[in-house]
Amino acid sequence: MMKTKLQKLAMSSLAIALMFIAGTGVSPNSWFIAYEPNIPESLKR
Amino acid sequence: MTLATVSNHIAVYLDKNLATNQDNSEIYAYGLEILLGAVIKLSIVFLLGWIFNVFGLTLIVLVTYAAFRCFGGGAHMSTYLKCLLLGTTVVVGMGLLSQFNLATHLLAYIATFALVFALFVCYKWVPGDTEKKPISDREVRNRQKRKMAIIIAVWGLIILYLLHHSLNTYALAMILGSISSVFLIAPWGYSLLTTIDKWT
Repeated sequence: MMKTKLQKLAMSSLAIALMFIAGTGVSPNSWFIAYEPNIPESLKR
Repeated sequence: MTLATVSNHIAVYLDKNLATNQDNSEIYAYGLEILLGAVIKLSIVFLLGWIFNVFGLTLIVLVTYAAFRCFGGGAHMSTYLKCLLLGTTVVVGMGLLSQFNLATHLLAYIATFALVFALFVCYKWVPGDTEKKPISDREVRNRQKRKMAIIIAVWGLIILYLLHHSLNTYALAMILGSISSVFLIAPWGYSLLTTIDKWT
C-alpha cells in the first residue's frame, strides 16, 4: 500500500519535472546541447 | 535503439500509470529526451575531464559555453549521437587547450578579440535560431540580444578579475568557451556544422 503510494508520488513528481523541462525546451533560451529533439505539436504555439 | 525510442517507451509507461484524462506522453517523451541527453552528455564530459586531469578547466569551459549558448542560441546537429561527439570533443578539447599557461598580455589581446567578436555576433546574429525552433518575433529577438549583451559584460568582468589575479589558465578556459560558443551562433558555425552533418 505504502509502496504503491510512493511509486505514484515518484511518477507524478517525474511527470511534473518532465513537463517543466519540456516547457523550457521550447523557450527561446536554448539548452546548451547541440541537438534539438522534435517539438511535440501540443507544445508548438 | 535511439534516445528518442527509449524516451518514448518510458513516456508511454509513465502516462499509462498516471492515468490522467489527457495523453501527455509526447510531452513526457520530449522532456525525457532533453533530460537524458543532457545527463549522458554531462556525465561523459565530466568523466573525460577527470580522466585527462582537466576537470576544473573543462567545467569552466562548459559553464561559459552553456551561458553563451543559452541566451545566444546557435547551430545544432541533426542527431543526438553527432551532437554528443561534437559537443564532448569541443568542450574537453578546449579544456585540454586551457592548460597552456599563456602570458597575461597575450591573454589580454585574445580576450579583447573574443569580446569584440562576441559583441559583433550579438549585434548581427543573436539569437541563432533553428528550423525546429525559429524566433521571428522582433521583440523576442531584441530581448535575447539584451540578455546576451549582459552575459558578455559579466564574462568580460570575470576575465578582467582573473587576469588581474594572474589566474591565466582559468581566463583562457573562459575565453575558449566563449569563442567556441559564439562561433556556432555566426553563419560560419552553421556552415561548419552543416558540412560535418553532411559528411558523417
